[in-house]
Amino acid sequence: MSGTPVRKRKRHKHNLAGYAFLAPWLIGLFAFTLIPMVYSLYLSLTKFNLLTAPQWIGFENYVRLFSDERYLQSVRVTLIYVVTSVPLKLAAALLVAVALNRGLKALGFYRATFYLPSLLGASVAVSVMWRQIFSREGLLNQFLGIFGVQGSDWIGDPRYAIWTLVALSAWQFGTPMLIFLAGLKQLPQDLYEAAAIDGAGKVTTFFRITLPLLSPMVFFNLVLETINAFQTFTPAYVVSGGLGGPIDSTLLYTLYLYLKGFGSMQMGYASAMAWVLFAVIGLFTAVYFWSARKWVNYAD
Amino acid sequence: MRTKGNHWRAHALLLLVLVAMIYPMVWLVGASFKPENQIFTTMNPLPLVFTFANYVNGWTATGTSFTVYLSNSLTVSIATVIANVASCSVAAYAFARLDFAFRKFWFAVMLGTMMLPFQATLIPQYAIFYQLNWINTFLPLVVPYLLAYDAFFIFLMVQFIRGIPRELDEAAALDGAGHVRVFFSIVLPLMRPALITTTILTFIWTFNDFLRQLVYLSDHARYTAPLGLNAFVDRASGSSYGGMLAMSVVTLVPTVAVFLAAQRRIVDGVATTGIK
Amino acid sequence: MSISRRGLFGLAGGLAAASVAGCGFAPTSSGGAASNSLTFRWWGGEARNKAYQAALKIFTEKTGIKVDAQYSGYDGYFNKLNTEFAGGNPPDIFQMDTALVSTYAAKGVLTDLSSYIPGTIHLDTLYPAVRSAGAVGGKPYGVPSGSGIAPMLYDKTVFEQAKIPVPADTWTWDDFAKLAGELSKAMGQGKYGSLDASKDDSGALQPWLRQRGKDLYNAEGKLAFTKDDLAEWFTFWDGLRRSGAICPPEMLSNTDSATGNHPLIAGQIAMTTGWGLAQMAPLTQHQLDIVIVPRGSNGKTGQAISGGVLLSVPVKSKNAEGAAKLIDFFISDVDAIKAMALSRGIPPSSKALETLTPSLSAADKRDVTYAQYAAEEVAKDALPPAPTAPPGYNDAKTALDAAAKQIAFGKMSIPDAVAQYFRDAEAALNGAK
Repeated sequence: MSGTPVRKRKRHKHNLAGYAFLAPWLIGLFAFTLIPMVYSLYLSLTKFNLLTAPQWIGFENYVRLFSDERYLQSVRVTLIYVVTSVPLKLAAALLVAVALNRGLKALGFYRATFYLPSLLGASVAVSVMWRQIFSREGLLNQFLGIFGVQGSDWIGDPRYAIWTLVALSAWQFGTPMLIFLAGLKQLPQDLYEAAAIDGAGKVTTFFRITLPLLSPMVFFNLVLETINAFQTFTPAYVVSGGLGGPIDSTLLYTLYLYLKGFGSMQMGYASAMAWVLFAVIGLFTAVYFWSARKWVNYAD
Repeated sequence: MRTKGNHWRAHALLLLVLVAMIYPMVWLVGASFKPENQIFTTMNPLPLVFTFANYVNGWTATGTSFTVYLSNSLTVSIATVIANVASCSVAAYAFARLDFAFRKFWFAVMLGTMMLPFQATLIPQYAIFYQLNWINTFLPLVVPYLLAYDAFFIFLMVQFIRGIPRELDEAAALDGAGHVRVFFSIVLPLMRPALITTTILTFIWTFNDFLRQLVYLSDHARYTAPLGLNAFVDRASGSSYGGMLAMSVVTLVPTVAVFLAAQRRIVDGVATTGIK
Repeated sequence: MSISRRGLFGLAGGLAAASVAGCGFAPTSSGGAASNSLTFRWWGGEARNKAYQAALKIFTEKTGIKVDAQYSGYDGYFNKLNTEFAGGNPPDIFQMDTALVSTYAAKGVLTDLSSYIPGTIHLDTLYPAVRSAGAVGGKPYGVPSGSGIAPMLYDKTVFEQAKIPVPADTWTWDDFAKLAGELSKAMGQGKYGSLDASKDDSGALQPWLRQRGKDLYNAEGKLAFTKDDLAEWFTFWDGLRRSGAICPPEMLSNTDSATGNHPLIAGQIAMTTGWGLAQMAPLTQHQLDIVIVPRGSNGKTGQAISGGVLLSVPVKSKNAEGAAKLIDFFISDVDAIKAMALSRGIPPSSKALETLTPSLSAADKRDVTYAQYAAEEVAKDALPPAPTAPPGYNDAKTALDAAAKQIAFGKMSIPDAVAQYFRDAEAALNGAK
């Protein structure tokens, strides 16, 4: 986090207040988060079948990961998913948020409608519905049929199944949209008035004023959506019936982790998977924070 | 910015995207009014034969009234929202505005708590709540949020607070205001959009959460709506899809209502805060 | 500052306290060690949930044992259960999957029910063929609730429209292949005579192997067939796939999720192996029916009798005695039998069937008639009973599914897929020990 000149004189002048404000979080951190995390790290070094006591095996789980073909497949699927779904979702969210921030009539109606798919979450209903759209005789193929295109069975075909998950993710862009909207509401209006006087166009205003001012929110959404994408579980579970098919084409990382941990009852192995993911996400986040110095502008 | 221009093009574009967005919802609502033997066999989104039977039967199909599930979901969600907004805003203020030892370290730890998939900590967490004798109560679902469990919202609020110019609290500090007063009378009102966003997201996520609620709740008198929905469909012993779809629509109502009520306030908030 | 902070926390604490005073936050009084209460967990759909609840009410009236009924769908059921086992807090008695009982029994977390038989649990009420359905290493770790033989399910309406006679009970795999081809032609483009059942282990591959005197697994939990057997099996289905008699692999993903998306409901296929008449019939306007799975050329059905779902008791059960009473209640008590009816499949005793037959609906009668016929035919096979699914079964099953689909999608040759299956399945069966 960036420092300000004011804080130079004295080191850590708010120790008491800082820890007082932080106290609830710190208590929760130790009680409900850190202990389970440390225990899970321990489990990653054991063989643990959930029913009998864990047996220490050192780094064997970690070594085994790299010769597990299904694991490597889950890594590939997840990387494709993260790299495509995050930018798509954020672009859709930002575009719609900016469009909705322009004093159109019936704004509330639009905002609510765009958010609706995100309200659905990922239930059995979503799974049923998604198949009605992407199956061979589904809505998408009926629509393509108008143009004489014979579509595939999108969910059933291993070449396309992952893209229906990317579509599902992009379709549920409500959360980042909401955060962008809230961020836009915080922007000082006088800058826009100045820009209007200077005769700047809409596109120029967006890139010169809106985007830089909104950069803390862009940064937040980028970091969080990346973390979420790496951990995407429920949609993958719901859409493929929990199996990651067809032929592992939608076997996202945490889905495989879940199948190993709770299905095959290899919780030690699953914990090792979790900690590798932890390291990868940590790396991504560190890179984001490092790059943030160059493009994120804070008002403080 | 709020010039009344000719926005028909914007409207047309939005409407087009909109149709694609809501078609699946139309299908869902339409299907909930279809007789069960036509839900999967007709592609038409609207019912050819209209029936309320799915709603009537679905409401009590699991042996416990859906009213119970909904009120449990509301209790858990509302308690979680209050706990989450209060605890996260306090922690966020510390991270964004206060200068204390190891701040960067704790900030990194906070981010780190989001990076381990929850499936990995489910079992040790269960063991802790079992030791506390909290199983089959709402406590494991709510108490962690009272202690700022979800770093997502701390980080969100930190980003917001850092968008508020520091001169405002510095001016207040010069007038002799302590941190508590600066927090309550300056920062909190100015971060209203963030608080409302947190309210909406926390409510919806809690309302739709499945796995954690499944693990911690066992008694049907304490079941929440997602658990109730799960009891409709069983691959082995006969399912009630009509009832499940109908109750899915019912379950959407509170979240839609909360969204509609709260989202207006994000917008209204602006005019009154008037930064600078 | 401290005052306001206290104020803030006071507010939050007050709200929490207010909610605790309400409902849902206080611990439940039940679940104690008392001998007059039980926690009972099961998965089920609407019909089974209601049946269990009605039966439990009668149980409490008769025995004074209060039962805390905990039920959900199958999704997440074993996840919750595993979490509780790991946390040392399983329910007092629970519904168990026949495919998983040996996995749990091998880990020593289930009660050996021998000591309750025949004193409390009257296992001899059940058909001899199903008594050992929950047995692992000769010891009973679960008591079966049903007796079933997985059928072939078909769409009668499609057969009538195509003017093709429905399969006879004496049909063989060759008849099946011919019929599937004829149906595909009659049904038109994009529709197929049968689902690709090459991935179906218990519903298709197991009878096929048993017809040849082999089986999926032996009593030691090892694979009881050879690579050549599996290659022949895959080759049979590959031929059907190439001739268009069975569905293309893209359609298979619809069988992984909700029943409602099954290609049989969508009218895309006319035949499929597996359970499901009761679940699927209400979802389509077509008329569905069942027939025995194709026989071997020697006339044997090769079918294995399933015990339906089991009831098992964890070692950590707080009331094993009460749990045993409840198990016996379901198999011995006439009122319980009436309340449960067919909600857990065909009841596994003649006593139960005699009690129920007068009041059965037409659809249920069809199920019962089929089950009785199939049981007689299976008895004529004179084959040894199939052993309980071994520990590691689930992963071995996944391996078959993967190998079958690799071939179907053209990603692997048959020998490669067979080799992959044997490697993965053997690893799963060995690793689970």
